[in-house]
Amino acid sequence: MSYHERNIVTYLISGIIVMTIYSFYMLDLYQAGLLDGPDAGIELGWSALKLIGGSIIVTVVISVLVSIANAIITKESDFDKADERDKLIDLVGMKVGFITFSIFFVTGMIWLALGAPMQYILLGSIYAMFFASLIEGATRLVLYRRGF
Amino acid sequence: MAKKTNKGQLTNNIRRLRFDHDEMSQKALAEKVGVSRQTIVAIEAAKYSPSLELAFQIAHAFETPIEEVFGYIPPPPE
Repeated sequence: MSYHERNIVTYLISGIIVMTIYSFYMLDLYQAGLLDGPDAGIELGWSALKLIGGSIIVTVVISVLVSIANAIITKESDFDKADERDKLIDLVGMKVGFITFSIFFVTGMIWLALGAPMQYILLGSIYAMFFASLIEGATRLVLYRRGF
Repeated sequence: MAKKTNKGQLTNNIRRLRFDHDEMSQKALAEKVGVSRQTIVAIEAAKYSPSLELAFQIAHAFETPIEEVFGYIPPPPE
């Protein structure tokens, strides 16, 4: 597995861990009725800020752990500079991720137009970003493996 | 190795040229042209078509004309 593939896997793993924790946190808020009250926007805002901070910390920790594990197993500490193929794969991945997010976003807007509560659409947007990044990472992995 | 496209077939002789150049490793070639070893692997297996600049750099690394490294077989006329 190349340096760039390993990075993608690291981001995917950290994304899944963070979103799992976030989902439990949001479930607690929902069960406490805080997502339906007048302060739902404030709760969502704070939860999103905590999510951003948590993602950064978890990603850094997992990146360090994966790098250490890789150095121990392979006895190499490689750091590949992105070349033209890596940049092309990144571009295709971003394009697929953007299209995915756009589909989720339009679906959310349709729900909003049909009368869905604003806070759930906002929450859905956060999950849409997560799924879009998952699909972006998966696309990049497939392109690395299948060839591009 | 050859890559089939809608427009024709791209071929390359990188493996043979590496063998002819003292069995140059993929890593050594990658370092010479400034890309990752995985990119050389993908080009050699015809899974990736390099840019014109990289194609010339690879040819330069082997000190040979570009047509010795890469070839193109046009599609049969319909």
